[in-house]
Amino acid sequence: MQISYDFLLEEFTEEKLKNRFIFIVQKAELWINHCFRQLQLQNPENYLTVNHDLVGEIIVDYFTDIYRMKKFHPIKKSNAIKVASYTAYWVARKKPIQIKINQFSDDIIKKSWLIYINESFAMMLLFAMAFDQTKSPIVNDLEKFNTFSDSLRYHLIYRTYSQQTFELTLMALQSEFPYPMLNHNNS
Amino acid sequence: MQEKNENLEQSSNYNTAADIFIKRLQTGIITVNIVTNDAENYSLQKASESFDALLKKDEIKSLIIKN
Repeated sequence: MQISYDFLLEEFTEEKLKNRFIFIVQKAELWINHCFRQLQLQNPENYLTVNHDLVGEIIVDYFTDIYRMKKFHPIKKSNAIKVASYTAYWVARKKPIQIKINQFSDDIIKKSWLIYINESFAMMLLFAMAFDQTKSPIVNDLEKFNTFSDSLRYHLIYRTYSQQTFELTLMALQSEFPYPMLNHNNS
Repeated sequence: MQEKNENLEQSSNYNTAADIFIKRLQTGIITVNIVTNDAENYSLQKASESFDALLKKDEIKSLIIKN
């Protein structure tokens, strides 16, 4: 049995779905180009492509999630944490950036995370859609963030995750725990 | 199946408990705890600018290049 998703158009409008589709495609292409620049590689279009059918799947599943949530919870509109979490989740699940070649070079495999570009793209969306990256950092020491970022990538590659775990992650990042961590090194 | 239903009906304790449960549902004693979610007009334009700004930051290098 198959059901039509045309109710999404009525619920969210064609414009909203279209804009979200374009947003994902454009940012995925930007991310691919950025990664290639960083790795000093050329012609990304020979290696990677953004599959528009998979982006369509992301949009459908994202808005269906939001539709179900709004029906159950008394929520009029999603907040930034929900938008970022649900978008990043479906990007990580559907993997819209597809690799066109069978193998990258030894150098790329050894030095880069390029084969996990969908996971890093999902992280980019998570960080950019929930937090204002146009502002300067509010902490000076970014070491902890880098450790977190490494752990999150590991989590996306090897562990089980959900929209809700992403939400909780963002809420944890947003909150400031009132007490320091237990220090086991000093008395 | 019919025998099973009869057995269920004979158990007055269960019936009473089920009635209490239904009454609690009807009167709003049983509620679901939901997390708060402040409605906001999410701006895709701002998200787009934020994404572009993040691309320029050093801290995302580790997303691409292995340490």
